[in-house]
Amino acid sequence: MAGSGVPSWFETVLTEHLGALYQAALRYCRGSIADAEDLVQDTVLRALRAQDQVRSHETMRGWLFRALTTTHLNRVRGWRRRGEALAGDLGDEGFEEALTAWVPMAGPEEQLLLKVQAAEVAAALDQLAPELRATLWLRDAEGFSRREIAEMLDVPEGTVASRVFRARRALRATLTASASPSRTAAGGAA
Amino acid sequence: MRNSLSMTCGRARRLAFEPTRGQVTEIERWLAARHVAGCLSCRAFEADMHLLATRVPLVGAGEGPSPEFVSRLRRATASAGRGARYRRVAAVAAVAAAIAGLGVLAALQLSPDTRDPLLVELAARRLALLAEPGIESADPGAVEQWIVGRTGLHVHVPTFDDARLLGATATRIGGYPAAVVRFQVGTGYVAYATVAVAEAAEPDVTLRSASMQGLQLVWWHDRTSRHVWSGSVPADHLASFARRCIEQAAVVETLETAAADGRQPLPDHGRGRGV
Repeated sequence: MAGSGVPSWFETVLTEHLGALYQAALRYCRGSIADAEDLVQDTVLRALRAQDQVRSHETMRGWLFRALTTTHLNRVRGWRRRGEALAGDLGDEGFEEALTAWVPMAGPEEQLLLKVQAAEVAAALDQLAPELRATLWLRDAEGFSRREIAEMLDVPEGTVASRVFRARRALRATLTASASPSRTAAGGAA
Repeated sequence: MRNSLSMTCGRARRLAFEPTRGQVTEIERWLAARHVAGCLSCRAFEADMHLLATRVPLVGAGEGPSPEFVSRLRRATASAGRGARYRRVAAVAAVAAAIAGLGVLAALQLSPDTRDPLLVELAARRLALLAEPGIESADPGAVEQWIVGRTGLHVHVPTFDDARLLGATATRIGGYPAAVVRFQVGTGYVAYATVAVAEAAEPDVTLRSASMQGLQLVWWHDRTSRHVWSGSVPADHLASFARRCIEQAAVVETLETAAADGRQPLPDHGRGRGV
Protein backbone atom coordinates (compact mmCIF):
# COMPACT_ATOMS: atom_id res chain seq x y z
CA MET A 1 0.00 0.00 0.00
CA ALA A 2 2.96 2.23 -0.48
CA GLY A 3 1.88 5.67 -1.46
CA SER A 4 -1.70 4.99 -0.49
CA GLY A 5 -1.50 7.12 2.62
CA VAL A 6 -1.61 4.12 4.94
CA PRO A 7 1.43 4.20 7.21
CA SER A 8 3.87 1.33 6.84
CA TRP A 9 3.66 0.42 10.53
CA PHE A 10 -0.03 -0.15 10.06
CA GLU A 11 0.58 -2.49 7.16
CA THR A 12 3.00 -4.51 9.28
CA VAL A 13 0.66 -4.75 12.20
CA LEU A 14 -2.25 -5.63 9.97
CA THR A 15 -0.29 -8.45 8.43
CA GLU A 16 0.58 -9.76 11.88
CA HIS A 17 -2.86 -9.64 13.44
CA LEU A 18 -5.39 -9.98 10.65
CA GLY A 19 -5.59 -13.77 10.86
CA ALA A 20 -6.25 -13.79 14.60
CA LEU A 21 -8.75 -10.97 14.34
CA TYR A 22 -10.61 -12.77 11.61
CA GLN A 23 -10.76 -16.01 13.57
CA ALA A 24 -12.07 -14.22 16.63
CA ALA A 25 -14.63 -12.34 14.54
CA LEU A 26 -15.75 -15.54 12.87
CA ARG A 27 -16.36 -17.14 16.24
CA TYR A 28 -18.00 -14.04 17.72
CA CYS A 29 -20.34 -14.04 14.72
CA ARG A 30 -21.01 -17.77 15.09
CA GLY A 31 -19.40 -18.71 11.82
CA SER A 32 -21.03 -16.07 9.62
CA ILE A 33 -18.31 -15.07 7.17
CA ALA A 34 -20.13 -11.94 5.98
CA ASP A 35 -20.64 -10.67 9.53
CA ALA A 36 -17.06 -11.54 10.48
CA GLU A 37 -15.65 -9.67 7.51
CA ASP A 38 -17.84 -6.70 8.32
CA LEU A 39 -16.66 -6.73 11.92
CA VAL A 40 -12.98 -7.00 11.01
CA GLN A 41 -13.26 -4.24 8.46
CA ASP A 42 -14.92 -1.93 10.98
CA THR A 43 -12.20 -2.71 13.49
CA VAL A 44 -9.33 -2.14 11.09
CA LEU A 45 -10.75 1.13 9.86
CA ARG A 46 -11.27 2.27 13.43
CA ALA A 47 -7.65 1.46 14.13
CA LEU A 48 -6.54 3.45 11.13
CA ARG A 49 -8.55 6.45 12.24
CA ALA A 50 -7.24 6.14 15.78
CA GLN A 51 -3.66 5.56 14.73
CA ASP A 52 -2.37 8.21 17.10
CA GLN A 53 -3.77 6.20 20.01
CA VAL A 54 -2.51 2.84 18.84
CA ARG A 55 0.84 3.64 17.30
CA SER A 56 2.71 1.60 19.88
CA HIS A 57 3.40 -1.79 18.44
CA GLU A 58 3.20 -3.40 21.87
CA THR A 59 -0.28 -2.15 22.59
CA MET A 60 -1.65 -2.66 19.09
CA ARG A 61 -2.76 -6.25 19.58
CA GLY A 62 -4.72 -5.45 22.72
CA TRP A 63 -6.22 -2.36 21.13
CA LEU A 64 -7.37 -4.28 18.07
CA PHE A 65 -8.99 -7.05 20.08
CA ARG A 66 -10.60 -4.54 22.38
CA ALA A 67 -12.05 -2.70 19.39
CA LEU A 68 -13.18 -5.93 17.78
CA THR A 69 -14.82 -7.22 20.95
CA THR A 70 -16.52 -4.04 22.03
CA THR A 71 -17.76 -3.33 18.51
CA HIS A 72 -19.26 -6.80 18.38
CA LEU A 73 -20.81 -6.65 21.83
CA ASN A 74 -22.20 -3.19 21.17
CA ARG A 75 -23.89 -4.58 18.10
CA VAL A 76 -25.40 -7.60 19.72
CA ARG A 77 -26.52 -5.94 22.90
CA GLY A 78 -27.53 -2.60 21.49
CA TRP A 79 -27.52 0.23 23.93
CA ARG A 80 -26.30 -1.68 26.92
CA ARG A 81 -23.15 -0.10 28.20
CA ARG A 82 -19.79 -1.73 28.34
CA GLY A 83 -19.12 -2.87 31.88
CA GLU A 84 -22.76 -3.40 32.61
CA ALA A 85 -23.36 -6.60 34.54
CA LEU A 86 -24.46 -9.56 32.51
CA ALA A 87 -27.44 -11.50 33.78
CA GLY A 88 -25.93 -14.39 35.66
CA ASP A 89 -22.67 -12.64 36.56
CA LEU A 90 -21.62 -14.09 39.88
CA GLY A 91 -20.82 -12.14 43.00
CA ASP A 92 -18.01 -13.19 45.31
CA GLU A 93 -20.04 -15.71 47.28
CA GLY A 94 -21.93 -17.02 44.29
CA PHE A 95 -18.71 -17.59 42.42
CA GLU A 96 -17.16 -19.58 45.25
CA GLU A 97 -20.32 -21.62 45.57
CA ALA A 98 -20.31 -22.39 41.87
CA LEU A 99 -16.66 -23.39 42.02
CA THR A 100 -17.35 -25.64 44.98
CA ALA A 101 -20.25 -27.25 43.15
CA TRP A 102 -18.04 -28.35 40.26
CA VAL A 103 -18.26 -32.11 39.92
CA PRO A 104 -14.97 -33.45 38.59
CA MET A 105 -15.12 -35.27 35.32
CA ALA A 106 -15.77 -38.95 35.60
CA GLY A 107 -12.25 -40.01 34.78
CA PRO A 108 -10.79 -40.75 31.36
CA GLU A 109 -14.15 -41.71 29.95
CA GLU A 110 -15.66 -38.26 30.21
CA GLN A 111 -12.37 -36.58 29.40
CA LEU A 112 -12.29 -38.57 26.19
CA LEU A 113 -15.70 -37.20 25.30
CA LEU A 114 -14.20 -33.73 25.29
CA LYS A 115 -11.51 -34.69 22.80
CA VAL A 116 -13.79 -33.84 19.93
CA GLN A 117 -13.27 -32.19 16.59
CA ALA A 118 -12.95 -28.43 16.15
CA ALA A 119 -16.34 -28.23 14.47
CA GLU A 120 -18.05 -29.62 17.56
CA VAL A 121 -16.20 -27.22 19.83
CA ALA A 122 -17.19 -24.37 17.52
CA ALA A 123 -20.81 -25.45 17.67
CA ALA A 124 -20.64 -25.54 21.46
CA LEU A 125 -19.07 -22.09 21.57
CA ASP A 126 -21.86 -20.77 19.37
CA GLN A 127 -24.35 -21.68 22.05
CA LEU A 128 -22.72 -19.44 24.65
CA ALA A 129 -23.99 -15.94 25.39
CA PRO A 130 -21.96 -13.38 23.39
CA GLU A 131 -20.17 -12.01 26.47
CA LEU A 132 -19.20 -15.49 27.65
CA ARG A 133 -18.06 -16.52 24.17
CA ALA A 134 -15.93 -13.42 23.73
CA THR A 135 -14.41 -13.69 27.19
CA LEU A 136 -13.55 -17.35 26.75
CA TRP A 137 -12.08 -16.74 23.31
CA LEU A 138 -9.89 -13.90 24.53
CA ARG A 139 -8.68 -16.02 27.45
CA ASP A 140 -8.24 -19.48 25.97
CA ALA A 141 -7.63 -18.85 22.29
CA GLU A 142 -5.76 -15.53 22.44
CA GLY A 143 -4.19 -15.94 25.86
CA PHE A 144 -5.00 -12.48 27.17
CA SER A 145 -4.68 -12.17 30.92
CA ARG A 146 -7.70 -11.63 33.12
CA ARG A 147 -6.50 -8.11 33.76
CA GLU A 148 -6.22 -7.35 30.05
CA ILE A 149 -9.67 -8.75 29.37
CA ALA A 150 -11.11 -6.83 32.31
CA GLU A 151 -9.72 -3.62 30.83
CA MET A 152 -11.06 -4.48 27.39
CA LEU A 153 -14.56 -5.19 28.65
CA ASP A 154 -14.49 -2.60 31.41
CA VAL A 155 -15.50 -5.12 34.06
CA PRO A 156 -13.78 -6.26 37.26
CA GLU A 157 -11.24 -9.07 37.04
CA GLY A 158 -13.49 -11.19 39.21
CA THR A 159 -16.24 -10.90 36.62
CA VAL A 160 -13.84 -12.06 33.91
CA ALA A 161 -12.88 -15.04 36.07
CA SER A 162 -16.47 -16.00 36.74
CA ARG A 163 -17.38 -15.64 33.06
CA VAL A 164 -14.48 -17.86 32.02
CA PHE A 165 -15.60 -20.44 34.55
CA ARG A 166 -19.23 -20.28 33.48
CA ALA A 167 -18.25 -20.52 29.84
CA ARG A 168 -16.09 -23.59 30.45
CA ARG A 169 -18.81 -25.16 32.53
CA ALA A 170 -21.32 -24.66 29.75
CA LEU A 171 -18.84 -25.88 27.16
CA ARG A 172 -18.30 -29.06 29.11
CA ALA A 173 -22.02 -29.64 29.43
CA THR A 174 -22.63 -29.13 25.72
CA LEU A 175 -19.71 -31.21 24.54
CA THR A 176 -20.38 -34.14 26.80
CA ALA A 177 -24.09 -34.05 26.05
CA SER A 178 -23.52 -33.94 22.29
CA ALA A 179 -20.88 -36.67 22.41
CA SER A 180 -23.08 -38.89 24.52
CA PRO A 181 -26.72 -37.84 24.32
CA SER A 182 -27.82 -40.28 26.98
CA ARG A 183 -25.47 -38.75 29.46
CA THR A 184 -26.18 -35.71 31.56
CA ALA A 185 -23.07 -33.64 32.00
CA ALA A 186 -22.06 -33.05 35.56
CA GLY A 187 -21.76 -29.42 36.50
CA GLY A 188 -24.64 -28.29 34.33
CA ALA A 189 -24.85 -25.49 31.85
CA ALA A 190 -24.39 -21.88 32.71
CA MET B 1 -9.28 -11.51 53.44
CA ARG B 2 -9.21 -14.60 55.60
CA ASN B 3 -6.48 -15.12 58.09
CA SER B 4 -7.68 -18.31 59.61
CA LEU B 5 -5.86 -21.49 58.79
CA SER B 6 -8.94 -22.92 57.11
CA MET B 7 -9.26 -23.00 53.34
CA THR B 8 -12.39 -24.12 51.56
CA CYS B 9 -12.49 -25.75 48.13
CA GLY B 10 -14.39 -22.76 46.76
CA ARG B 11 -11.83 -20.29 48.06
CA ALA B 12 -8.88 -22.31 46.82
CA ARG B 13 -10.41 -22.68 43.38
CA ARG B 14 -11.22 -19.02 43.23
CA LEU B 15 -7.62 -18.15 43.96
CA ALA B 16 -6.69 -20.45 41.10
CA PHE B 17 -8.92 -18.34 38.87
CA GLU B 18 -8.00 -14.95 40.28
CA PRO B 19 -4.52 -15.29 41.73
CA THR B 20 -3.98 -11.56 41.81
CA ARG B 21 -7.36 -10.50 43.10
CA GLY B 22 -7.54 -8.06 45.95
CA GLN B 23 -5.64 -8.43 49.15
CA VAL B 24 -4.42 -11.98 48.88
CA THR B 25 -1.76 -12.58 51.46
CA GLU B 26 1.19 -14.90 51.15
CA ILE B 27 -0.34 -16.96 53.92
CA GLU B 28 -3.52 -17.34 51.95
CA ARG B 29 -1.62 -18.36 48.83
CA TRP B 30 0.28 -20.94 50.84
CA LEU B 31 -2.91 -22.22 52.41
CA ALA B 32 -4.54 -22.54 49.00
CA ALA B 33 -1.58 -24.40 47.55
CA ARG B 34 -1.51 -26.71 50.54
CA HIS B 35 -5.25 -27.31 50.26
CA VAL B 36 -5.08 -28.20 46.58
CA ALA B 37 -2.12 -30.49 47.14
CA GLY B 38 -4.12 -32.48 49.63
CA CYS B 39 -7.56 -32.27 48.01
CA LEU B 40 -8.36 -34.79 45.29
CA SER B 41 -11.42 -32.85 44.26
CA CYS B 42 -9.54 -29.58 43.78
CA ARG B 43 -6.76 -31.30 41.86
CA ALA B 44 -9.39 -32.80 39.59
CA PHE B 45 -10.94 -29.35 39.21
CA GLU B 46 -7.63 -27.89 38.08
CA ALA B 47 -7.11 -30.74 35.64
CA ASP B 48 -10.62 -30.27 34.25
CA MET B 49 -10.09 -26.55 33.77
CA HIS B 50 -6.80 -27.22 32.02
CA LEU B 51 -8.41 -29.73 29.70
CA LEU B 52 -11.29 -27.42 28.87
CA ALA B 53 -8.89 -24.55 28.20
CA THR B 54 -7.21 -26.64 25.53
CA ARG B 55 -10.47 -27.15 23.61
CA VAL B 56 -11.11 -23.60 22.45
CA PRO B 57 -7.83 -23.07 20.56
CA LEU B 58 -8.79 -26.04 18.38
CA VAL B 59 -11.36 -23.84 16.71
CA GLY B 60 -10.25 -21.55 13.96
CA ALA B 61 -7.07 -23.31 12.96
CA GLY B 62 -6.79 -22.90 9.22
CA GLU B 63 -9.72 -20.47 9.02
CA GLY B 64 -8.06 -17.46 7.48
CA PRO B 65 -9.62 -14.52 5.68
CA SER B 66 -10.20 -15.05 1.99
CA PRO B 67 -7.88 -13.32 -0.51
CA GLU B 68 -10.90 -11.41 -1.81
CA PHE B 69 -11.62 -10.04 1.63
CA VAL B 70 -8.00 -9.09 2.20
CA SER B 71 -7.98 -7.24 -1.13
CA ARG B 72 -11.18 -5.46 -0.22
CA LEU B 73 -9.77 -4.53 3.16
CA ARG B 74 -6.61 -3.15 1.60
CA ARG B 75 -8.64 -1.03 -0.77
CA ALA B 76 -10.75 0.21 2.12
CA THR B 77 -7.75 1.10 4.26
CA ALA B 78 -6.02 2.75 1.32
CA SER B 79 -9.10 4.80 0.68
CA ALA B 80 -9.42 5.72 4.34
CA GLY B 81 -5.74 6.56 4.43
CA ARG B 82 -6.23 9.15 1.74
CA GLY B 83 -8.87 10.70 3.87
CA ALA B 84 -11.43 9.83 1.27
CA ARG B 85 -14.84 8.57 2.08
CA TYR B 86 -14.88 4.81 2.12
CA ARG B 87 -18.12 4.40 0.25
CA ARG B 88 -19.72 6.37 -2.49
CA VAL B 89 -22.87 7.95 -1.24
CA ALA B 90 -24.96 6.57 -4.03
CA ALA B 91 -28.25 7.24 -2.35
CA VAL B 92 -27.84 11.00 -2.61
CA ALA B 93 -26.44 11.18 -6.11
CA ALA B 94 -29.70 12.25 -7.61
CA VAL B 95 -30.21 14.85 -4.92
CA ALA B 96 -26.73 16.19 -5.51
CA ALA B 97 -27.48 16.55 -9.19
CA ALA B 98 -30.72 18.27 -8.43
CA ILE B 99 -28.98 20.70 -6.09
CA ALA B 100 -26.40 21.48 -8.72
CA GLY B 101 -29.22 22.24 -11.14
CA LEU B 102 -31.26 24.31 -8.75
CA GLY B 103 -28.33 26.09 -7.22
CA VAL B 104 -30.22 26.53 -4.01
CA LEU B 105 -32.26 24.39 -1.73
CA ALA B 106 -35.95 24.81 -1.92
CA ALA B 107 -37.83 26.38 0.91
CA LEU B 108 -39.49 24.47 3.69
CA GLN B 109 -43.07 23.62 2.91
CA LEU B 110 -45.55 22.87 5.62
CA SER B 111 -47.63 19.75 5.14
CA PRO B 112 -49.81 19.75 8.22
CA ASP B 113 -52.17 16.99 7.23
CA THR B 114 -49.95 14.30 5.85
CA ARG B 115 -51.23 10.75 5.90
CA ASP B 116 -48.07 9.30 4.46
CA PRO B 117 -47.91 5.80 6.02
CA LEU B 118 -44.11 5.84 6.23
CA LEU B 119 -44.15 9.03 8.23
CA VAL B 120 -46.99 7.85 10.42
CA GLU B 121 -45.11 4.66 11.22
CA LEU B 122 -41.87 6.53 11.80
CA ALA B 123 -43.56 8.91 14.23
CA ALA B 124 -45.32 6.08 16.02
CA ARG B 125 -42.16 4.03 16.39
CA ARG B 126 -39.72 6.83 17.05
CA LEU B 127 -39.07 6.10 20.69
CA ALA B 128 -38.78 2.39 20.03
CA LEU B 129 -36.39 3.09 17.16
CA LEU B 130 -34.19 5.18 19.43
CA ALA B 131 -33.91 2.25 21.80
CA GLU B 132 -33.37 -0.50 19.22
CA PRO B 133 -30.03 -2.28 19.14
CA GLY B 134 -27.55 -1.06 16.62
CA ILE B 135 -24.16 0.58 16.44
CA GLU B 136 -23.12 3.01 19.13
CA SER B 137 -20.45 5.23 17.68
CA ALA B 138 -19.60 8.90 17.20
CA ASP B 139 -17.57 8.03 14.13
CA PRO B 140 -19.58 8.84 10.97
CA GLY B 141 -17.47 6.55 8.80
CA ALA B 142 -17.95 3.62 11.13
CA VAL B 143 -21.68 4.24 11.25
CA GLU B 144 -21.91 4.43 7.46
CA GLN B 145 -20.02 1.19 7.06
CA TRP B 146 -22.16 -0.50 9.67
CA ILE B 147 -25.33 0.64 7.90
CA VAL B 148 -24.19 -0.55 4.52
CA GLY B 149 -23.19 -3.88 6.04
CA ARG B 150 -26.58 -4.30 7.67
CA THR B 151 -28.95 -2.85 5.11
CA GLY B 152 -27.06 -2.32 1.87
CA LEU B 153 -27.98 1.38 2.09
CA HIS B 154 -25.26 3.91 1.37
CA VAL B 155 -26.29 6.58 3.79
CA HIS B 156 -24.40 9.80 4.24
CA VAL B 157 -23.98 10.40 7.97
CA PRO B 158 -23.49 14.13 8.38
CA THR B 159 -21.43 15.91 10.99
CA PHE B 160 -22.61 18.95 12.90
CA ASP B 161 -21.16 21.33 15.41
CA ASP B 162 -24.47 21.53 17.24
CA ALA B 163 -25.39 17.85 17.35
CA ARG B 164 -23.50 14.81 18.56
CA LEU B 165 -23.65 11.58 16.63
CA LEU B 166 -24.72 8.69 18.88
CA GLY B 167 -25.06 5.79 16.48
CA ALA B 168 -27.58 4.11 14.28
CA THR B 169 -29.95 1.22 13.98
CA ALA B 170 -31.04 -0.89 11.04
CA THR B 171 -34.70 -1.67 10.75
CA ARG B 172 -37.64 -1.85 8.35
CA ILE B 173 -40.13 0.93 7.98
CA GLY B 174 -43.24 0.34 5.93
CA GLY B 175 -41.69 -3.00 5.01
CA TYR B 176 -38.67 -1.33 3.40
CA PRO B 177 -35.06 -1.54 4.60
CA ALA B 178 -34.23 1.52 6.63
CA ALA B 179 -31.46 3.03 8.69
CA VAL B 180 -32.03 5.46 11.54
CA VAL B 181 -29.09 7.61 12.61
CA ARG B 182 -29.32 9.16 16.06
CA PHE B 183 -27.99 12.50 17.24
CA GLN B 184 -28.06 14.28 20.55
CA VAL B 185 -29.01 17.94 20.44
CA GLY B 186 -28.68 19.60 23.81
CA THR B 187 -30.65 17.38 26.12
CA GLY B 188 -32.87 16.01 23.36
CA TYR B 189 -32.50 13.76 20.37
CA VAL B 190 -33.05 13.95 16.65
CA ALA B 191 -33.13 11.05 14.26
CA TYR B 192 -32.28 10.86 10.58
CA ALA B 193 -34.03 7.99 8.83
CA THR B 194 -33.31 6.77 5.32
CA VAL B 195 -35.92 4.42 3.93
CA ALA B 196 -35.16 2.52 0.71
CA VAL B 197 -38.55 2.74 -0.94
CA ALA B 198 -38.90 0.40 -3.87
CA GLU B 199 -40.57 2.83 -6.23
CA ALA B 200 -38.27 5.05 -8.26
CA ALA B 201 -39.27 8.68 -8.24
CA GLU B 202 -37.97 11.95 -9.54
CA PRO B 203 -35.69 13.47 -6.91
CA ASP B 204 -37.25 16.32 -5.02
CA VAL B 205 -35.19 18.35 -2.61
CA THR B 206 -38.13 20.38 -1.45
CA LEU B 207 -38.11 20.04 2.30
CA ARG B 208 -41.53 19.24 3.62
CA SER B 209 -42.52 19.50 7.22
CA ALA B 210 -45.26 18.18 9.46
CA SER B 211 -46.01 17.75 13.11
CA MET B 212 -47.18 14.35 14.23
CA GLN B 213 -47.78 13.04 17.75
CA GLY B 214 -45.78 15.91 19.24
CA LEU B 215 -42.93 15.20 16.87
CA GLN B 216 -41.59 17.43 14.12
CA LEU B 217 -40.78 15.76 10.83
CA VAL B 218 -38.85 17.14 7.86
CA TRP B 219 -38.37 15.06 4.74
CA TRP B 220 -37.37 14.93 1.10
CA HIS B 221 -36.70 12.14 -1.33
CA ASP B 222 -34.30 11.13 -4.01
CA ARG B 223 -34.75 8.55 -6.72
CA THR B 224 -34.83 5.52 -4.45
CA SER B 225 -34.97 6.69 -0.85
CA ARG B 226 -37.04 8.76 1.51
CA HIS B 227 -35.04 10.86 3.95
CA VAL B 228 -36.72 11.97 7.16
CA TRP B 229 -35.42 14.03 10.05
CA SER B 230 -37.49 13.84 13.19
CA GLY B 231 -37.25 15.25 16.65
CA SER B 232 -38.87 17.29 19.34
CA VAL B 233 -37.21 20.47 18.17
CA PRO B 234 -38.61 23.39 16.14
CA ALA B 235 -39.23 22.62 12.48
CA ASP B 236 -36.73 25.28 11.38
CA HIS B 237 -34.03 23.68 13.46
CA LEU B 238 -34.81 20.29 12.02
CA ALA B 239 -34.82 21.72 8.52
CA SER B 240 -31.41 23.17 9.20
CA PHE B 241 -30.09 19.67 9.90
CA ALA B 242 -31.73 18.39 6.74
CA ARG B 243 -30.24 21.18 4.59
CA ARG B 244 -26.76 20.69 5.93
CA CYS B 245 -27.11 16.94 5.49
CA ILE B 246 -27.98 17.39 1.80
CA GLU B 247 -25.21 19.93 1.28
CA GLN B 248 -22.56 17.72 2.86
CA ALA B 249 -23.68 14.71 0.87
CA ALA B 250 -23.57 16.73 -2.32
CA VAL B 251 -20.06 17.99 -1.59
CA VAL B 252 -18.82 14.49 -0.86
CA GLU B 253 -20.48 13.14 -4.00
CA THR B 254 -18.94 15.84 -6.14
CA LEU B 255 -15.48 15.24 -4.73
CA GLU B 256 -15.74 11.50 -5.15
CA THR B 257 -16.99 11.75 -8.66
CA ALA B 258 -14.16 14.13 -9.52
CA ALA B 259 -11.61 11.83 -7.93
CA ALA B 260 -13.04 8.81 -9.72
CA ASP B 261 -12.79 10.70 -13.01
CA GLY B 262 -9.22 11.70 -12.22
CA ARG B 263 -10.06 15.35 -12.56
CA GLN B 264 -8.80 16.38 -9.17
CA PRO B 265 -7.29 14.70 -6.16
CA LEU B 266 -9.34 14.13 -3.07
CA PRO B 267 -8.60 16.63 -0.37
CA ASP B 268 -7.03 15.65 2.92
CA HIS B 269 -10.41 15.99 4.55
CA GLY B 270 -12.90 14.06 2.51
CA ARG B 271 -15.57 14.41 5.15
CA GLY B 272 -17.35 17.66 5.52
CA ARG B 273 -17.13 19.28 8.93
CA GLY B 274 -20.01 20.96 10.61
CA VAL B 275 -21.28 23.58 8.33
